[in-house]
Amino acid sequence: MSDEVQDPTPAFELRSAVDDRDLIARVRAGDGAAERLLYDRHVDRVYRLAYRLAGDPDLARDLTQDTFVRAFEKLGTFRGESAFSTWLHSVATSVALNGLRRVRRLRRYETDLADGAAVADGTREAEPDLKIRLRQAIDGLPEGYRTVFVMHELEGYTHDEIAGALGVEVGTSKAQLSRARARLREALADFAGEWTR
Amino acid sequence: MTVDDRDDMLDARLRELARDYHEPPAPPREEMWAAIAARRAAPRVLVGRRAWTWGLAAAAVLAVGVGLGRWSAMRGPAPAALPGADAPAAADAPLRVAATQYLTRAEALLTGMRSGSVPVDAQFLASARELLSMTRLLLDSPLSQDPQVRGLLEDLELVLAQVAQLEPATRGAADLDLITDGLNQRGVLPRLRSAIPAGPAALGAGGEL
Repeated sequence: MSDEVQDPTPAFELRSAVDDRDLIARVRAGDGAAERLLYDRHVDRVYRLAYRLAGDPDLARDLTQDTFVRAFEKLGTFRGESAFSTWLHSVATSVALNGLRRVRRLRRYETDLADGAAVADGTREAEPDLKIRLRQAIDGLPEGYRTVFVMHELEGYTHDEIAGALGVEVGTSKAQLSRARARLREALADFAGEWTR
Repeated sequence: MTVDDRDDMLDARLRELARDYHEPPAPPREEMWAAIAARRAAPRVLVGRRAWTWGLAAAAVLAVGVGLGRWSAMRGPAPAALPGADAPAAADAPLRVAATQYLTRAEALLTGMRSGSVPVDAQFLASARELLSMTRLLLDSPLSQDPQVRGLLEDLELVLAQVAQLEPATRGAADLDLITDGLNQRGVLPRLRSAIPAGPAALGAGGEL
């Protein structure tokens, strides 16, 4: 079975790289309208990835804004050796993963502030719902596995795109996806009968 | 059916079930663009990363006081070090830690308030007042010569002053909504996060510090 998702190729993919290069040149020349056009072209996919990883609208919005601010600031370092979308998604994943690491620290701090009060998620353990268990299992994946799983399985990135965004080998992306799937199958083993209905 | 066939079938079902995982809503394009444009339009005067570090750290040390302050005093007055790019990295490491703690606390408090996950109680308000004092100290420091830093601190001062005036027993949702709107419109949290390094091991390797 192929690793590639069978969903239709996003319209995003069909846009000409030449157009992106033209816009980038205009942005570098100080054309604010070109910034907006570049943003409009790529924001949906960046936001979707940020939301899938963060699971929170405020955080997804912040991460998306951070991604574009940093991308515009660092546009001078983009040399066109890869597609702009690949470069932009390397910024987006870096911003998102760093941001989420901070959030995990904040949540620990918040737990301290709440003096160890029970977190709302506590009730999920007892809820025998397959999708809830799946969500918990995905949340519990190691960061690298979860990132690749989300990008590939949910957002339809190819392994080439993931490798470019995360700065890893294509083989690493494939291996992490395979391990993520295995972990999820294992985590949901007691639902196996329900899966195949 | 082989094990591989069964795994393939389960993986396909897994993918189907997982589509609901953090299903994204429509992106708030205009709202995000407004915040991006505002941040892009903010004046950027690059005083230098080490100046940022020393200025903020010096102010943090003044507030936190005692040990680090003594250490700093032994090395001479902090403002003299502000423009310096030659200070050894090891020497300003404790100061960077103090500054990072201040920024991290501010971010934690405001993020918790915005998400509603932290109760607005006496402890919360005490933290807000302490951070407000720290912010005002920083505004009086040489650090505020950097317009970007000053803008962030002024926004923080405004928000923290509003937060510090909340009454735990009588606070209305409207007050919090107003404060949260201000936070979002001015992009305070993303700017704050940009100023914090990615992690303790990466101090000085990311963010503004």
